[in-house]
Amino acid sequence: MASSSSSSSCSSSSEKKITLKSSDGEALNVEKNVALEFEPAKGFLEDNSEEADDEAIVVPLPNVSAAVLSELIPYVKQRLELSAKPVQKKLIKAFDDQFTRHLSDDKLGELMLAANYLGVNYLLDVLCDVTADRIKNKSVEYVREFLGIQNDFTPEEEAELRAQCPWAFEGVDQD
Amino acid sequence: MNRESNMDIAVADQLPAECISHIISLTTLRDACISSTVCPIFKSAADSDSVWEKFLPSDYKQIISNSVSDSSLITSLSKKDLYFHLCHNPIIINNGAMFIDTRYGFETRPVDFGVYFDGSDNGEGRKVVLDPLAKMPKLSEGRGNGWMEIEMGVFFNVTGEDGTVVCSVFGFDRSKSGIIIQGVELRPKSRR
Repeated sequence: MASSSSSSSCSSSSEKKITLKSSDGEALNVEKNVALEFEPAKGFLEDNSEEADDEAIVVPLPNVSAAVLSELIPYVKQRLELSAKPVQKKLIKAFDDQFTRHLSDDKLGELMLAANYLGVNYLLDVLCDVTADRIKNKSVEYVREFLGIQNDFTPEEEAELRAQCPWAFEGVDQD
Repeated sequence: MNRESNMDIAVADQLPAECISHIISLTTLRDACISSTVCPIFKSAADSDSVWEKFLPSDYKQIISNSVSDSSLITSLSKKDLYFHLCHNPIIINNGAMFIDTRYGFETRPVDFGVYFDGSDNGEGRKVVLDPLAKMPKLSEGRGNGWMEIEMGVFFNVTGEDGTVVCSVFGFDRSKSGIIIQGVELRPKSRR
């Protein structure tokens, strides 16, 4: 997996740092092996490989805010450390659970978009799982509100769709 | 859940369709039907083959090819249409019917079966969890053709008079769907 998995701690001076620039213009320093987990950053670093000094490279990530990046970076870093060891899947699962358990719906949405844009598929999978759990057994109205969706169906179209499987709409959670 | 914490950003507009399909495929068949009425983006994601392939039995292609049904169904219908086609048109294999069931609401929540002689309280009923089948108690038996026989209860006609015997099936707690009752048979207890 990770090419440079000498990730004992961030204090090791040999660990190369890269600067990521968020959509809101903040510069965040991360270990190169963490930055390489983000597809756009990986592409950018490959394109600029002639640059001798990694420290001088600033990778623009125009679709991700500093707030979201600063949640993602520690997650990816720890996840890399876990994957580098011969740990049980259970441990990774527990780590993922801990990370997602207290996410607000809003943050969940932001992280999903960021994970998709950055190509962090293992995180995207976990977030999809959480989203699926949160919309299970819920009403149409709830799902719309949860995901901030505008209903583009006309009332007639919606009535027709509901009539195709009326049994599905009975007894969903009342919240 | 606190409504104010819902997603402010239009996630559905920005996520790729495969990703929305993936989320829906992790829910249930019923949630997929609900999802298809959420908005047009959700509808195309919820109706996609990748979602319904998960709900079909993993060996559905083989089952259909080995049956007397037209195996062009596999390619001519969308997976969702195929699913509902199979629900309404049981496949005949090895002289038995294979149903794809649309049951829901039977997991962990029991169904009350009761049999009693009307006007007396000597009836005896039982609660049975119908799904998963593995947890069914001894008073039921599989018949190897998809049907399940369940002993609903016993009653005793104390006075030996004519009257009405009531057989009931109830599940009050939540809505349930998909149970098919083939018939009810009354048998003398001694000759069971």
